[in-house]
Amino acid sequence: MRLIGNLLLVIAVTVGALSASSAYVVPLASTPAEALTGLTLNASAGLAIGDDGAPTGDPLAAKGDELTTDLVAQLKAQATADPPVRLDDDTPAVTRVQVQEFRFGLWPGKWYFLLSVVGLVVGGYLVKTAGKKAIEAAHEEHQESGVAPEDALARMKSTADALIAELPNMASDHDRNHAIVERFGALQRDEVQFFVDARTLLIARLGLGGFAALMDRFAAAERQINRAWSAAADGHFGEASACVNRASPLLEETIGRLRGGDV
Amino acid sequence: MDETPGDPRQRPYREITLSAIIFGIVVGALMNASITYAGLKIGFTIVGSAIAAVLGFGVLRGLLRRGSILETNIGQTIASAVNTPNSGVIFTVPVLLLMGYQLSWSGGDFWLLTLACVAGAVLGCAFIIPLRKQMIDIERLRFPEGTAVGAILKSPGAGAKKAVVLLIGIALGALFFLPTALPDIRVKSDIAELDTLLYDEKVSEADAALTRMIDGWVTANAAPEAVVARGQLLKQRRDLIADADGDDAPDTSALDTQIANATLPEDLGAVSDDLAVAAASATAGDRTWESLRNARLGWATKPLWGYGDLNVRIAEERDENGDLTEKADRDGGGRADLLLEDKQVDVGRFFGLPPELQLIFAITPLSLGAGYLSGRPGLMVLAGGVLAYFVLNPFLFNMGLMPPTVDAVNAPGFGFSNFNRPIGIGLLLGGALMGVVSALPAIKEALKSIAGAGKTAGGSDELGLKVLVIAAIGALLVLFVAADMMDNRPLNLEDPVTSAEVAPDTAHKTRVNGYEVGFTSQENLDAFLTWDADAVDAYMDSVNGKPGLFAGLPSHIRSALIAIIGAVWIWFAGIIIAQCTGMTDWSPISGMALLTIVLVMLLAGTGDVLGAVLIGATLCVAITCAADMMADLKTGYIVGAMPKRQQIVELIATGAGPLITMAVVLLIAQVNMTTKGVPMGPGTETTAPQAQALQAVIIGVQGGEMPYALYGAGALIGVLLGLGVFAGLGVLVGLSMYLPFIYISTYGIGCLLNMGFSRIKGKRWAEEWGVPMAAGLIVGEAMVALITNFVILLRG
Repeated sequence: MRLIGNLLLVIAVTVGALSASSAYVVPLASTPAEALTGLTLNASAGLAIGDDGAPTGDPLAAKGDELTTDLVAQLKAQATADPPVRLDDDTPAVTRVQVQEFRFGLWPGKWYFLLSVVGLVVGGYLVKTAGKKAIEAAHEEHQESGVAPEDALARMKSTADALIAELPNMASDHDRNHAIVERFGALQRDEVQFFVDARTLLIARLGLGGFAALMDRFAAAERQINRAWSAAADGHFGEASACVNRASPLLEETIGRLRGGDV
Repeated sequence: MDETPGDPRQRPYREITLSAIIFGIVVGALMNASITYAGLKIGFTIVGSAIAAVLGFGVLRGLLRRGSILETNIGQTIASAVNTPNSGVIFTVPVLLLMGYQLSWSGGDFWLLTLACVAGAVLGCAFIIPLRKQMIDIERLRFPEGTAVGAILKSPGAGAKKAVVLLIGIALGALFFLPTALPDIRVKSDIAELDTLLYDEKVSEADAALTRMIDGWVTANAAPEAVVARGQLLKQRRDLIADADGDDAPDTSALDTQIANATLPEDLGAVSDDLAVAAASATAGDRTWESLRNARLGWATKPLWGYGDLNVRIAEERDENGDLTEKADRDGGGRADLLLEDKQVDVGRFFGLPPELQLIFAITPLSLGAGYLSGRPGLMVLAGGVLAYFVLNPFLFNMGLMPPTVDAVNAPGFGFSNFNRPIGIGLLLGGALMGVVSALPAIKEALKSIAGAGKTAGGSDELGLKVLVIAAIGALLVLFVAADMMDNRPLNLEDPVTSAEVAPDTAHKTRVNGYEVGFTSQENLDAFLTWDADAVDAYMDSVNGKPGLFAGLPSHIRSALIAIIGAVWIWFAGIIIAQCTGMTDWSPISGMALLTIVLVMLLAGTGDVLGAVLIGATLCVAITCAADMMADLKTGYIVGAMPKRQQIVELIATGAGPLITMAVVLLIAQVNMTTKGVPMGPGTETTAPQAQALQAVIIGVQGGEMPYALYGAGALIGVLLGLGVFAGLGVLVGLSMYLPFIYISTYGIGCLLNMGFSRIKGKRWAEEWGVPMAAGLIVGEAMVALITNFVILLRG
């Protein structure tokens, strides 16, 4: 269903953009002369014909010119000529004019555009529905496998707690800083990424508002982890240690919010 | 010495320091000046965060030997805050110079514009504060440049190997970009190599002819009499003006008449006034003849070495007469065209694609790196680009929706400006609107969190909602004052009755179509009031004075409404730009400037160019600063900086940016006026391409040429895309339709490389080693670009 939805979206966007592009480009042959007369050209139109009967390479009318009865007649004649009037085999024939005024009735692609709107709505619905089913499946899979965002948070919390316990027993600030850089570095690489990747699952569980409230606390904790890492990398144990101590309760709060305690 | 863990660490962790502030301001000011000049010359600017981060390491940690990661972060935050506003200014303000408005140090308009830009910078930073939590903490947008700067700042602590990867990235970025940047620097060519330069299409026929002419004069120690005579008159005029006292303008009318009569024969038509004066001076013995071999006087210059010199050309293909076919020689230069040019490589022609399908890659490691950092989400940009340039434009061309005089080679360009760009901007708007609507619950939570934290004893870790409220009031005030001042100025520069010049502060005014029309005297005003409606309409048409939507409202109410709509629009546009840079690193500033000017002219009327540009400049500066602030906050998040501290320094420092940029713009305009007779644009070194594009839009609005239906259709598609897949999809697709494909293609390769490495080597490997490499590529190009700009500025 997702594939069909995506395909429908791609087709609808393409058709929509193509048909929208024709909003100001009016076909000469099928449009009544009186509907064209009085409009203003927004690009050059037609081809000037030389004495030898061949196009000179110059346009018949320039951008900004008003379409007079005479000019419309000349343009319509070029558009219905057989063989078609064109500069050479590699350029298109004279068939349309681009005008400044938008008229819904003169828009050749209007029905295609409306069709594309329907396609976008249906395609979007299919993708959304498929997305919901995928989230439900992922949720069940997570529950069955026992690998859940809570686990990543718990591992982060236990790393911070372990550091708080072990740092005082280390021999030097150099060792302490090294331990913070190594262990928090690993957290940044693995656990944070794992938790962040579970975004869709978390939104499905908590709703967008609940997810926002959860991420608010998580981000506060992550910033302390990042700051601890930076300070430790700079050899400033005082700041690094303070940040480790601040990170732990923030992670606790995040876990609480995820469990639904304060969402 | 061993330190026991129980010891208090009294030494504070270095974050906001005097060294970081001075470093940031000095580096930011240097970058601002050089990038302003280069932006006016070549049309685009670079963001300086990555360069400032690397320089910060060199200065704060290398030279001063005491900088920390967070101190360097503050240094780069200030530097980019001072530098960033330049793009907002140079995309908008020069359009006034192009349209004949005068700016001077003593004029009120210059200072009003400067004030508006400074206010815009502060407002942009303040308006985006409440969205930091939503975009960075909750939405976790990537902000490729911010991520790259974060990787740079962390590199020394992340281990020697990653630092080496970063350095290799910088070296590769610089190396690959050098042959692209060097040709922007042009040096004086030798007369003996003119033929070769002509053959290589590095010098135009006209320049070569003029150079040979000058060489002939130097060899003969004599110039044609007509040139010398004209030069003497011009010199007398310049001396007269230079010797004049203070404000008293000398009477040059007699000389002007003589100069007008001293025209040069057709074969000497390329001789500029400067060259004529120099020839007269050399004849009089005031300067050497040799000094006429000067690029400023028209002597041909050649670009420094670039990729084009590798001479990688398309295969020669000749017709039955032995001439090169158009397929091989599109530019008619007499040689097969280059496949590898200084700034791009044409892969499409190598594979023999039809001319309307132009598969060209810009040589830009910066885009490659940004694409890598965006990864899979950025691929949507490539998809949108493919849709626009490989489906829409070829289809529209072949179905005859382009004029019959547009050939296949020019079809992508025509399609871009007539279809892709307006639909793309519409998509951007619709996509961004959906982004805001769908993020409302998250924004509500973020605001709740900021407001709640502000009430606790420790306070919030970022600036509170008070700043937003103050900023909103400030925005309204500045915009109201600007709109009101513009509203009370006469629309016309000349008296409708006598065509005499009208002073901006004239007391003789009347209101027509919502505009003030000024007169030099009460008699002229009275005479005007007797004109019939048709005559008045005809006059108002001649000064583009069509009424705006608010034309019927009283003046102050109209100004207030424009101010309110302008402030809301600044906030919304800031979100659009922050979303764009957050997801892709591209920011559609010129598109937003265009929409702002269209919006103001619709509301205030098509004659209110000064007001529209003033509000447009405010907005442009605001949104560039908003995007920069978000990227800096992303960097700060990665390294654990306190958002509040970054926000404070950015808010304080950013106001300096527009001052520097405006001063540079005015200096350049004054120098151009003296040497070239025009302040900016064609005929000068600073052609201001973005401002020229904006000027075309203004003229388009005045002429009723804006394709509103295309904007609307694009916006509807953007909204529906956002409803279906994800809210920001319309932004990504719209952005790709709005940008030239040559940058999207290179960016797309970066995205694909990320996906490839993730699949082959694993996501962790791609992140751990790819990010420092990508960051290096960005820094390498940015540094070379900055150095080149600086050289151009010094030589210019």
